[in-house]
Amino acid sequence: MRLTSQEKLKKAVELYSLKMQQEFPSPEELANLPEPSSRFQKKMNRLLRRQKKSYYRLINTSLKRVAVAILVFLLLISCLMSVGAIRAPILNFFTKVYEEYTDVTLNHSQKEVPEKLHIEEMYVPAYLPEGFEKSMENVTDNYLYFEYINKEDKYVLFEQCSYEDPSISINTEGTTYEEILIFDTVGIYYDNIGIQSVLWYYDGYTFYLMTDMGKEEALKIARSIEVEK
Amino acid sequence: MLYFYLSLISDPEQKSKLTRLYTAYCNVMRYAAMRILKDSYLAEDAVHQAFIKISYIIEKVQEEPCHKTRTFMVVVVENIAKDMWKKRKKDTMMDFDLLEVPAEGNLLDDLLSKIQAETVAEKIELLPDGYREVLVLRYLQDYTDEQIAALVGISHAAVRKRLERARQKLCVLLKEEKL
Repeated sequence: MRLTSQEKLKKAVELYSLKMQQEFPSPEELANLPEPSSRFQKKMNRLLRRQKKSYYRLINTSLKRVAVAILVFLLLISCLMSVGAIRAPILNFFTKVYEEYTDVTLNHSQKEVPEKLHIEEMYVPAYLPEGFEKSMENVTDNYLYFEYINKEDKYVLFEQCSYEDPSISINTEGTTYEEILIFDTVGIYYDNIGIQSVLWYYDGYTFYLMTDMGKEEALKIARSIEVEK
Repeated sequence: MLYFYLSLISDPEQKSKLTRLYTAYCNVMRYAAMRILKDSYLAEDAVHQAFIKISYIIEKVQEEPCHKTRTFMVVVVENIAKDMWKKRKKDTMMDFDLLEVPAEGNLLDDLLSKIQAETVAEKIELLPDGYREVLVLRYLQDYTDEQIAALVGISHAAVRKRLERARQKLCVLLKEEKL
């Protein structure tokens, strides 16, 4: 059977792909690679957790976003009609401590600021310790990620998410955890094996910061965020 | 309350596709990035960035364990690793989008009809990285211009141009073979 030029090109690319695979060790050999760093594992866990959220698929097109916005509007109207009182402005976090990990979730019943469907204002840390430079950035409709490093490979990871459920699972073992105040809302600070993280909710967005620069710097950076001009 | 309604649709037990891809291909991607960057931390950054990009088009990624998916994952991370390497070295490597490649019209079709696929595969290996990458994404994964643009981080128009140039460059290599 004679192949068209497109089919021939497809076949050639497949042959190239098969040949390319021979350059790589087998999965068994690759399993002997050193364990990835804890920093990498934490970053990947965050990314994979976000992808698991089913509602992302519900809002991944403009039409769906409009539909969700209408739904939110109707729900808000129904809430306003049934509940006369103004809600408390302070956010609470629920924590559930299990043997191996602690689940932290935002108490939505006390949330006053509505979530935003996409990032309308980009926030950035106005303060960074000396010598830090941006090494990576990733900005999408509903997610912003900046990574800063210095010459000693110390790092600051900063995330801003819209329409994100601000919940985290923290290893209970070796973790110190406390509630902190950022602007006018309560946030979560925790330290796990020398890595400091801060999770907070502000202006309709969820923010997450991770660094190995210590608690004082972590909080200083978190409290310095401002809208990028 | 919205979260409550939305949570009814979710299946918390189901591991996401991205997680399964991560489990299956993380090591080979780290290995591929390490070959280029020679630094495990940077290689991890490249893998992380690759998964962010892959998450944009996750619906389209094939999941069955096969060489096509493995090649795709490797090609994506290699491209990112090479970009990182160039930036770090402040290398003034040639921008292949600016390479002058003579227009060949329908000559590629003619050459492809006369030359064995195995030989074409060898020539694909000789293409500059960026050209090879778009050919793999188009012809191995059947991605659209938009999907390739999201993965490679260039505009749709630039994808079309790069594909055109890749085919032209392949044509030049095949013509040399024929001579």
